[in-house]
Amino acid sequence: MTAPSSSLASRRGALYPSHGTSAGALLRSLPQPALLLIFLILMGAPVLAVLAQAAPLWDRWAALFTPEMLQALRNTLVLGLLVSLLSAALAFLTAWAMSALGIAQNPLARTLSLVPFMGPPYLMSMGWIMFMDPNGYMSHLAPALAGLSGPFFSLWGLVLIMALHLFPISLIAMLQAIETVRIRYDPPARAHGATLSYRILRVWLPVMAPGLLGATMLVFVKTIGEFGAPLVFGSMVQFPVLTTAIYLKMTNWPIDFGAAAQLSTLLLLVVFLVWYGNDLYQRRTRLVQDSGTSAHRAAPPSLAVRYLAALGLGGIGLLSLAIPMGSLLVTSLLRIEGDGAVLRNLSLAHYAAIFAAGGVAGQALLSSLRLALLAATAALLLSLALAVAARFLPSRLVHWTEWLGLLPNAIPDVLLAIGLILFWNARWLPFTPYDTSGMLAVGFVIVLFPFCFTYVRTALFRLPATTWDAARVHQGGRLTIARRIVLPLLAPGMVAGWTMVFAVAMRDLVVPMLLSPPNSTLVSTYIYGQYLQGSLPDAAALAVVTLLVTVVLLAAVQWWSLRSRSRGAML
Amino acid sequence: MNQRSKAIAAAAAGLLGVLALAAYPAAASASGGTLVVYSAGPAGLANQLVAAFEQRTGIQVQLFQSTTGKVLGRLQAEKSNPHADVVMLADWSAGDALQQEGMLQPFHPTNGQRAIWKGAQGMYYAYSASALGITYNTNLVKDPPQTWLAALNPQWDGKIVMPDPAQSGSAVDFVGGYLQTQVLGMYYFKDLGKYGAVVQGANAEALNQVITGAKDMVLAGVDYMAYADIAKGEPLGIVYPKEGTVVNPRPVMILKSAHNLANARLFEDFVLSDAGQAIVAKNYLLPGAQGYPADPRRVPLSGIHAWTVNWADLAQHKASYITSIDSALQ
Repeated sequence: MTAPSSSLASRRGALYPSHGTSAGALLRSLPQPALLLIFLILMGAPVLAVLAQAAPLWDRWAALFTPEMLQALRNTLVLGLLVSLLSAALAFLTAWAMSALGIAQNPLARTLSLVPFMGPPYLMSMGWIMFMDPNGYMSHLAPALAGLSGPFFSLWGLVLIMALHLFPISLIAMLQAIETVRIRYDPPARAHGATLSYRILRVWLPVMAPGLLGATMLVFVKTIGEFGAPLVFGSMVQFPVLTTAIYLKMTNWPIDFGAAAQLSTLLLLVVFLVWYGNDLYQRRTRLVQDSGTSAHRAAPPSLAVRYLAALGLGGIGLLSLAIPMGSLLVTSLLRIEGDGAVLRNLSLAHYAAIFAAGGVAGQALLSSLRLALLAATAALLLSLALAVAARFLPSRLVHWTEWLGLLPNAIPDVLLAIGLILFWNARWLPFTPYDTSGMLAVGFVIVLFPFCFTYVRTALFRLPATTWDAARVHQGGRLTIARRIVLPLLAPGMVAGWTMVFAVAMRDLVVPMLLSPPNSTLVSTYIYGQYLQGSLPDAAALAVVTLLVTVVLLAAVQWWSLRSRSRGAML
Repeated sequence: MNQRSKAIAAAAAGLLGVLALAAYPAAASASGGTLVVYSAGPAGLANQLVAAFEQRTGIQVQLFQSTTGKVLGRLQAEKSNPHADVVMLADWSAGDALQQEGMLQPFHPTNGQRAIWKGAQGMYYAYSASALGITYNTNLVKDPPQTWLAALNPQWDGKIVMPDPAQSGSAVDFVGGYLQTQVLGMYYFKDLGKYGAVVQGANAEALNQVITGAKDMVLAGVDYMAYADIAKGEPLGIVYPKEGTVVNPRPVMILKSAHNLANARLFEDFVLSDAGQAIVAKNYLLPGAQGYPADPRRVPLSGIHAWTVNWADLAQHKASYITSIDSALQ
């Protein structure tokens, strides 16, 4: 993902004049302020509400820098760096393998590759813990590997768990880069007899670096803002980070939002520096981007390479999905957890309990589905509006709006949720969704908007202007062009963005934990409640069911979008 | 020319419509709210109490169910515009904290007279209590330690886990109670560290390690969770050490800002009544009303040597307990 500023600058000159300027200037200037206002209310207001808590405490800044906090800051940076590196490596390996196997463009394969990101991080951590424990599932399956248990319960285990969870974020960008190199740039270099080292240094790296860096940066930002895994696994290995410190300030008496907000400004500062550095870099290295409609095909790699790729993909699937989800699946089948995974102890009782038990779990599943559908659709509409504005009505206002939209990526979700309470529960508001499930929808949209927007924006900006110029030559009306040409071409990006919001909203814990209205239980709060003070097998069972429902639904959406696209092509 | 702008405007309008749609059904049901309860777990207990109360009185209850920390966080965030009437927490000192903040109002329910634990000026009452013990895996441990000191034994080197005080209020209570009542208490925790005991996660993570057999026993585990697991058939046992232990009363209180005061009072009276206490007992907690029997499958309050804990002092030293224990038990 590139920062908005860099690509905006390069597009504006080429596109702006082609729209003419005269008629309806007033009406055309309306949407930008309107969009800015929407985003100011959605993203700006809660952040300001939080910062307002930190501002009056200037004299306390010095007291904030205790040795523990500096340690937490250092841990945060170390964790962010290690996770980004490992997840970049994982994403590269996955993307390379998918490309080598010729499934890089397959929407189903793409959806599947996002599944590791859909599992709840705290439960995925729990799955790993149950697998690697001295008496865990691994000691039964592969006693020879028991020696790995000790080293796993360290910073490295945390890095591995988080990288395996977060690498799908950078995968799409990585796939794009790899396909471009493999199809466009590598074959000529190879044909001219370039050596492998030359090709890596002078072709692969320069072409891939910008996208790779942008995607890795997003993983870095997500890592330092994540608190599920650091809370569950990090506490087992004594690795306090800033987010856990913030979380503790907000949930331990004396509750101190001011200090939490101050700590978050540290986090914000780090994020800002990273964004800024990336922006500088992206400005310096401008690359001709792939137009996206490539007719070339790379020669299929040799059989050995394809076997290797399949092996690599299998290995990543094993680590990112089979082990943590498998542990949860096995746990969900245990009648009595302490009796272990033996045949006579297996039962479906916990699944039956989901659909019975006064229907709480079933109700939770339905509520989550409804909210996730709503949030994904709203985020998509919002993303479309902003992306279209950024593409066709670029201005300083729109640019600011884009920064506002991406702001939630830079702020820990816990703090955003508190900001949402502070702002939306204010007495002077004439209308508020607070204390209704609408608040949850708003929360999901805000937290997940950056994902959706990034996909839609990238898709829209990858379409060359020639697409609609050609249509206009043929006298197509603007709406017709939008509907018949731009929208279908945009569909994959839209589906990807919608999918991401839907999948994460299905399992997100932070937002409902703090913003749920009374009398509402979502999948995540049910699972977390069971996990904290109930039965872990019950929690695992609902997690498995939810993941299945999510994957089936997403596969259906992919299938539908594929079908409608191929039908569109026939018309 | 303007069609794109119109399209954007239409998308924005559509979005607002979608959001309004989301808010509608919940808003409709929220208008008739007659009692708002914020409660810390266990979820089953709060749900059952509320259901019984609704059935008895016909009052509709809105229940926000979370943990002590998150309920306190939400109360703090809502301070400018409070919603809750009744608050039920899992930690006695949290009741004191809310009182210090001036957020509570006094009430003397009829059933308040039978409460074993009462806060100052009738500000809060314990409707239940939990005790801390040594929870062990019966498949792995045949002869569990009967005292806290007996846990210092090479036989359990690396096999003992304690909930992390940074995440578990009950673990802080245990550390505080131990340091307040036992001589040279800090050395005990340092010695535990030498024998390879560690702090890991909150109560659930620690207990789960013992259920799966990764560890032999949880030190200072919450007893009702263990009893509930035992009832399910998990291979667990619990010992209340002879030196005594922390019994933590769980307070129920009415906020000063309560909108539905009459109903809030009815509810507080109800949880201390026999009907309310029966639900408490069923969830393996110690009843908060004098003379009401605990569940026969658990050790009653009379069988536990409870330390006299200075809760205010404990609350003051929380932060230092957390850092010193976390450095001793890594």
